[in-house]
Amino acid sequence: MDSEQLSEQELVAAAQSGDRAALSALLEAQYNRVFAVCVRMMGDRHTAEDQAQETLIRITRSLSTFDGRASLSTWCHRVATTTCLDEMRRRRRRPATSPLVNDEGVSVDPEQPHSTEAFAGIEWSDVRSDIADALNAIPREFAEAVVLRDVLDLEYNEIAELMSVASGTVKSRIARGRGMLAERLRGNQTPGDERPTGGENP
Amino acid sequence: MTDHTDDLGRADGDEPLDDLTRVLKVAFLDDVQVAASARQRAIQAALAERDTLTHRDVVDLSSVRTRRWARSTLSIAAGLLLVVAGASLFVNRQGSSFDSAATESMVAEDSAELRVKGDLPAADAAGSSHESLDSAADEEVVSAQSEMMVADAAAPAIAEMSDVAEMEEAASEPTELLDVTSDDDLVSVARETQSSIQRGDVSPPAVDCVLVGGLVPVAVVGYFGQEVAVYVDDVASTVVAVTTADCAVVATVPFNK
Repeated sequence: MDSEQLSEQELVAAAQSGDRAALSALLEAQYNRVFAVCVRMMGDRHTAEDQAQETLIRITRSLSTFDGRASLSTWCHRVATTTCLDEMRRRRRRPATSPLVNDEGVSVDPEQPHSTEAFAGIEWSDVRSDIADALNAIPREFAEAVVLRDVLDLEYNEIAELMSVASGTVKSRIARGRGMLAERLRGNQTPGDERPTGGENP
Repeated sequence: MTDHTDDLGRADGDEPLDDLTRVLKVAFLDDVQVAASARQRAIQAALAERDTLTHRDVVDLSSVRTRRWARSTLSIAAGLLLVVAGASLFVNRQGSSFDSAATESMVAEDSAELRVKGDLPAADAAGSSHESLDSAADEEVVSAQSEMMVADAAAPAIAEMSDVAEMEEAASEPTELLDVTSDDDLVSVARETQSSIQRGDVSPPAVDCVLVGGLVPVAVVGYFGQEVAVYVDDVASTVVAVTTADCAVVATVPFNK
């Protein structure tokens, strides 16, 4: 075990035992990654800052349950994605402010997700140019599925929920997206294979 | 699913390509510009939350201790009252018997003396003496009776206090505990009970322990010989078991959502 790992463990232990300074240092160390996850998931910096703050509050509330089986950064990353997913779900809910029938007299379930405010997508305009180029060169839904899985560590069912597709479709998109991205990044793509279509269930 | 194979990763496209994942993570997460003011604001908010939680925990622990102190004090007070009332009755009854015996003895002595000394007046004197002694004995009896009445009057209050203490004890001790013998069962019981609580089918159990984060207990079960309160932390996807005796965490079991 290296000293960095040990010092992180010590920091966690101190924070768990109520040491305020240790908790502050721990949060300071985790903020950048937490914010990065939030900004990728939420799309804009202002919302990401709010969600990063909420993530730090949740980390503080739940730190006593952190048992060290995963690394602290992995755990915080997971808290951040869960926080952002919760916010997305909250935003997708239609507020129950009106009668439960629409203009045509059809009953409306206020608990149904508001499809027009579904997942806005992952942005990568500011990432390293070769990565951005590779992502832009493959179908958007494939690239996005790979980023949600490999960068943000979301579960298949969470990605399926965000992208409004079946889990099987998500797995398929991830697998194909990884293959295409790897080829692009190796620089050995062949002309004409940029936009594969079909072969998936909606 | 494809059977694509390349030199960056594995044949099965469902498995992450380690190098690709690393490259993507670095590109997406390591180069994000962070506003120092936003970071500071977030940390301060989290620390404020921590301070609030700490304060709440102290208050909760204090109220738990106060309740326990009040309960034991009540029991002790009730016990003392019973002892005092019992002792008082015992002393008075014993004193009364003693006085009666003494009176009889004195009357006998007086009567004998008067019989030696003379006739009717002596008998009258003995009678009046006897009456006055009887009256004294009656006063003692009245006194003993009034003590008994005081004790009787106090009895319902004592019984009530005793009942309250017993009821509180009974409320804090479930009569029948579900025994959980594995982590899987613990998670299963916790999540099922949580669902029932969320549906409104059952109420959360009353438990003195308060976890950081203000988690609400979902069940009290037997767990490897200990009575534990079970909490579900949805944020961390863990089930936490703490002993009801001293709120010590005895298990933290992760679960898949």
